Amino acid sequence: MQWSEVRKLFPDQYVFVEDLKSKIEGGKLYVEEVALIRPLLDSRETLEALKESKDNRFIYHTSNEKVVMDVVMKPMVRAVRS
Amino acid sequence: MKIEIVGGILMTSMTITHKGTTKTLDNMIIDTGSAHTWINLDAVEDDVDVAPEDGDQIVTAFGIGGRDIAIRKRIDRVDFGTFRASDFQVDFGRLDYGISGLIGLDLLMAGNFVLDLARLTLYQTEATTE
Repeated sequence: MQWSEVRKLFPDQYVFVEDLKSKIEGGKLYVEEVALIRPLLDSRETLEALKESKDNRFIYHTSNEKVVMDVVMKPMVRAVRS
Repeated sequence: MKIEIVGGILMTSMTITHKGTTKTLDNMIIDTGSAHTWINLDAVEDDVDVAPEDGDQIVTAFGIGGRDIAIRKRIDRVDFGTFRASDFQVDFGRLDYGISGLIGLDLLMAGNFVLDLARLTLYQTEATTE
């Protein structure tokens, strides 16, 4: 599904989606096609979906015309385990 | 401000205030190798309203174990030692159990911090606010 279709169906809210097609360019991730997992109705559901977000699944707000994300390195702690 | 060595890394505490709630986070790692300050969602979600809102940025984090998603929010206030920052941008996401977050170079530089490893203290060269 195109992001524009998701925006039409669920305007001005967060949705939980899966990245089907994306590319990284200039340090940013551009998602071109998504599969809808579920619309998120309130802030509690949105927070739950954020915690479920992993690999290709993510939350995004449909007020955004395009899906563009900054790419960062996952924080890693290299402590000595006691 | 005193810092501690725990498990061979630098630990301190930091306080965040957001939407009228204040929470002090212990077990914050001082990490000059991290560009952004990052807070473990598990450490704050029960006390502070960090639910995603329109206007928050979603960021992708790549690394060992695959891809993660974090939310980049402007927090009303961050108090760190003598430094206070308003509307400070923090990433909220997944992190190892038992660690509240990482104090990144963004916060350390905004406060002009000096890290004294001989005395295990952290102080500002001059009082600044952002």
